[in-house]
Amino acid sequence: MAKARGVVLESNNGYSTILMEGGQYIKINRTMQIGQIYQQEYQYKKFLLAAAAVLVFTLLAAVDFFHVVAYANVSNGIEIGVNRWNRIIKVETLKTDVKTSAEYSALKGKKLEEAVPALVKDALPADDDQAEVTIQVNSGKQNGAKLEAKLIEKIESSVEEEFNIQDQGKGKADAQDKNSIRIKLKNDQKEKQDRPRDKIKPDNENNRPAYQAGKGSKDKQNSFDNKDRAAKKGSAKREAD
Amino acid sequence: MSGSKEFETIVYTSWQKFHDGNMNAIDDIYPELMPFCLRICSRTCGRYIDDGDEEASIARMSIIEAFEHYEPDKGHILGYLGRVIHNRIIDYKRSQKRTQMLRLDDLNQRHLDDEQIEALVEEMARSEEIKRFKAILNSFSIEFAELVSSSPRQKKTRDTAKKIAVLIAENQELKTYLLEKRKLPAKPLEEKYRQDRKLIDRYRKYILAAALIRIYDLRQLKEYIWTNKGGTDRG
Repeated sequence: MAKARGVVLESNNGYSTILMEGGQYIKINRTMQIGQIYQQEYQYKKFLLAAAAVLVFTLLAAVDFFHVVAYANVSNGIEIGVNRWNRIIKVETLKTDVKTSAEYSALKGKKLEEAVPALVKDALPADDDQAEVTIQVNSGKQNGAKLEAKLIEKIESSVEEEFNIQDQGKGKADAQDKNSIRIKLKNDQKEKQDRPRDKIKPDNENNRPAYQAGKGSKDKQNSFDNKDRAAKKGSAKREAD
Repeated sequence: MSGSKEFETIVYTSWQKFHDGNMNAIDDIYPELMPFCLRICSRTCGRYIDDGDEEASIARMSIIEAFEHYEPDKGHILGYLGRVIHNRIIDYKRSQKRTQMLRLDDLNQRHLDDEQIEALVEEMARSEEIKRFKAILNSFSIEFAELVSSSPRQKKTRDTAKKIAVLIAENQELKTYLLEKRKLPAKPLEEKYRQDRKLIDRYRKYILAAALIRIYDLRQLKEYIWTNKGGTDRG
């Protein structure tokens, strides 16, 4: 047991002033005699308390890190769990014809805005120009609307960065469904009926992928129906060409 | 252990004078000897003993008894005196419980040995040095309690502060400044010796105390400040 020594300089009223080896002056709650040698026990208690505090803090931080505060459901059947620092901590596949959760495991630990573009790319079929992806965000918390809006914003900005979306391409969010966004790689047909249809590629400056925050699908079936319609439109266009 | 040897010599000289017929020899040494005797009483009783306590009276009588019966072949005089006081205190405690008084010949069977007596004498020497240090600090308007708050918590800072104290103590110009003006030569330390002014101002009292210990050659305290064992580090 390591012991530090000191000499008592003065002692009164239940306190003693000690000069320790190394030159530090300390005060202790003990009456001693002037000139007496004081031996300080190693501060095991303080060390143990400090170690316990670090352990508790680490455990709490770990529990908090792995606590899901919101889920983002991508229309291709991927569900990602996000923690309070917007990091992906859970990936689940709800459909069998998409990549498995293990294949998406590389996304774990990454920030949501880093992972979303990859998820959107995977969700968009290569042979369908009019495909769209819906991402719905749900928070189980009582006042989750603010969190959902914040996450939607992050998803919006990350998708914009990746796919060069122009501001005028944005639509206004439906007041009822603020917790979801719909991403399209082609201009909306309703807005530009008379214009010839352009083949849009994400890295071509003519291809201005547009997205609008519209009615989010309350259930996944709704967004799958939209996909079918887009597929039909695509085949109609090919026939026209 | 020079303190104990010096004290031992002083007491032995007094015994010699007493042995040669000088009855005032005990009176002459009484002020130096009594604190030692009170410490023996304290150690035996396990509590603080004042000069007015019954045990102190027993100690006074024990001094005369020890001086009368001591011979050099019985060991160091301080050890002998310590054992006499120790046993007379025990006898007194036992007499209060109505048991027999022990004889002087039984001293060798007692627990208080020479090593403990020497430790006690060292303690007294330290105590004298500490009293001297306190008086020096008071002349600079510094209390021991202030040194606790003025003490650097980090070892690295403490080492730097001690180096400054050594610099002051070993430099004639700085030492003279400190002793005459009764304050740290902060400006010369900063300008001429390029020391950190912030550190000097923050730990002024600590540096001053350490410098004074060195200047006045307070050996026992010097050993505690300039030791490699490091002491405790807070923070």
